[in-house]
Amino acid sequence: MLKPSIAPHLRRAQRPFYQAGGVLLCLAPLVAFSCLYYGLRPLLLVLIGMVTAIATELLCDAFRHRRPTLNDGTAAVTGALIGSMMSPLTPFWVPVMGSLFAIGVAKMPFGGTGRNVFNPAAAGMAFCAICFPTRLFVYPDPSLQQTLPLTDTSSVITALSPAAQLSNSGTTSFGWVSLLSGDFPGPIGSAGILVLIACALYLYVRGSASPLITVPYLLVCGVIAALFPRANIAPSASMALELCTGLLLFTGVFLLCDPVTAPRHPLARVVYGCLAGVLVMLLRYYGRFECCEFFAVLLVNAFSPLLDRSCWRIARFVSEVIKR
Amino acid sequence: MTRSSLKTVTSAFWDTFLVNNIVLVQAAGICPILAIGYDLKFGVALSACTTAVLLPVSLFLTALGNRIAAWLRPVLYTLLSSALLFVAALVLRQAISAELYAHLYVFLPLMAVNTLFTYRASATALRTSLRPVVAVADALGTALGFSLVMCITCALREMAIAGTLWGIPLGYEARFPEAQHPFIGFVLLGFMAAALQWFKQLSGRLFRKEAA
Repeated sequence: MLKPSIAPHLRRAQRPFYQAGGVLLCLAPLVAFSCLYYGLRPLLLVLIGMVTAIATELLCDAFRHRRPTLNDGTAAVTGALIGSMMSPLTPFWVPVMGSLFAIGVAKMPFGGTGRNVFNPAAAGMAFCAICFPTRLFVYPDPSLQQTLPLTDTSSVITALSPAAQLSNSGTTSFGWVSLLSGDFPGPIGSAGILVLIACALYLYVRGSASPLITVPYLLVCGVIAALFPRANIAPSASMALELCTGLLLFTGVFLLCDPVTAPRHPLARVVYGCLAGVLVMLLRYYGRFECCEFFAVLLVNAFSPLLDRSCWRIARFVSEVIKR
Repeated sequence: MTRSSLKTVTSAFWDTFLVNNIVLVQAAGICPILAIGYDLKFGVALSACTTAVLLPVSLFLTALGNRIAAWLRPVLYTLLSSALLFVAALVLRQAISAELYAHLYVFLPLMAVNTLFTYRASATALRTSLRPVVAVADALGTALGFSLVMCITCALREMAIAGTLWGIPLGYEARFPEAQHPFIGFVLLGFMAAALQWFKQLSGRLFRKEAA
């Protein structure tokens, strides 16, 4: 007997709850890493994002007279991703606003899980970046080992992130070791490049993310960074700096591989990743914000169905030609 | 006026006012709503100018009937709209408020080439047998439909930005100045379009129930 279920229609190993669990599991060490530097504040930001996203989804379900769809875990992932992309210094109401926008505007009005055109977490972050840029891109200095207060953060010593340094002066004072160990000012989720790489590998093995998207994305970003360095440095150093700073790697691992908004066809995934890489680098070079990866994700989401359709057509055409 | 012609006039009005609202259903005239739709005074001024232009021009074109070619109508419509908007802008600046005119900036003259007007010109050109009274009801519905959406958007955004309505404080402290961004206007229009579809579905269901 056929059992009706909501989209996305995936194999057992790819069901939303399984995938959401994997993403949450990967976000845990990233947040823990940030907590080591800044105290409990990063954890609270992520939890607030999650609780708001879950509450908003419950409210929207109640408004639509539908059964709660919380058991798929996607709302919790959206909230956790939004919290992880914030600065540890961000006021607690900012992830609330971001999660409200993500679920209330970018997800539920389109029909909920599996039907959203744009990545809700990217939409929520784009909303926060446009509306509250001064709250989002101010980072505490990790080298001072300061535990952030939960209420008044005015006394916290801040520092420019490597991405901001690259945008402003075309150079950065952070070396390889700092970048790999996460000892640089940046969003909660970007702390620890090695942890992010481990998360990516875990998600690939689990089947929750696709290397067909992330690898071309990182390759394109790396090639553009090497060919057109923003600072007066060697191409290899420029490549390493661009790939390790901001939310570039985080976006490649968590946002672009969203099973709902990413294309299904393997070739479409490769093109999708390449296109995202070009857009991210263009926005980094000419954009207004130092972290602009979520805008690129929203733009490339719009092309996802078109890429899928075109690639399926090409595949059908090629198979017909081979049959002849 | 007979009952059937009254029904035609009423249905022409409701059709353009709500059922096929020019902004929420036909997606025309969105630009000024997004750009300057954050103060109720601006909204009312722009809505008044739109109504003052749409009514006489629609009436004039209907009176002309088939005497001019259909392809020439949009051009004539734009020219007439520009002339009337110039008069409306002059009245606004000289007699009402120069400050309001300055706030409306380039958006008032730009209304002459807005899709709202060009769309009406094409619609009138296609229906050459329209009687003047129906044409006026049609134009009035369009103008009031635009005004309704414009004023609701302006009121909501003004309340969020400044906590006021028509400049009168509403007595709460919460402010969201970011609502001035055009994308907030887009989000509001999206929700209003969805609300209109929901209302249409609900009323359709009610009518069907009554008929049964």
